[in-house]
Amino acid sequence: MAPRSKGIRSGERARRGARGSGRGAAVPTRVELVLERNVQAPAIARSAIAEHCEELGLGGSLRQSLILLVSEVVSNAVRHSEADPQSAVELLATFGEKMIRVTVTDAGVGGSHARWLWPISAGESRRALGSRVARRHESLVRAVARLSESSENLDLHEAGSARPAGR
Amino acid sequence: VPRAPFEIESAHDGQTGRLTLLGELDIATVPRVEEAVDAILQGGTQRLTVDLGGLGFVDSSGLRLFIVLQQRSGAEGWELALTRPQPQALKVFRLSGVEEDLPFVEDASAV
Repeated sequence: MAPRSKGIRSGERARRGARGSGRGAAVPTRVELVLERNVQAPAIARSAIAEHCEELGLGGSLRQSLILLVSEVVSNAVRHSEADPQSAVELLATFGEKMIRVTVTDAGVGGSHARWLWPISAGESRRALGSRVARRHESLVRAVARLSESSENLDLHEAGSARPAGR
Repeated sequence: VPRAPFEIESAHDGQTGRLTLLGELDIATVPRVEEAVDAILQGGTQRLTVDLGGLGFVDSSGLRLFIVLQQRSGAEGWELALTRPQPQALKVFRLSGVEEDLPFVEDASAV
């Protein structure tokens, strides 16, 4: 299995001066990935996001949450989509002054297939760990948002479309 | 494109076994841990410690793995112990509420 993406554009519409300037870099920057639909995709996405956070001087809980979020979103696209296995998963993370927006475009059958799924099913959880865990069927988005002490700056935006993978 | 490094160290002595996980645990690497668990159990391990101290990242499939292992240990009659991962990975166990339901031990050598 070749763990590589079809292409990575870590585009920065920002000045390079954003490096080390901390949260609140004045202009938006973005990470845009076109990933092959395989199990290596989440690690590739995490690596790109981590690198971009480093360039922007973003650290701590915000960085951790973002990496987890992106990893889960890409994982879900890889595992749960009914899309053609040959189609790509596209990830766009836009880093604004006050907000980070993460969009996954999954060329799934019939349109949007970007989903946030907590993979522990309700039935399984009930059997395994009792109702307390079963009730914890909240979205991953809320879960990872809580990981961040600065969640007001972390706008978790889910989106999907039927855009063809070939762009 | 760099692939996240991931290693499993396996050791057993009689009925006591230990798997040490190093790197990042996600949908690419969870199956490798499952294979390593199967292998060490087939070798006769009755008390298995999985050392997570070298894990810097765990995703939800990793959480699920440990829940399933705990179920398996009960159903199959072997003993499971886990040591905690690094803080950023431990947070995922804590905030999801899974931590208190898993057999974490303070000292890996306690089992």
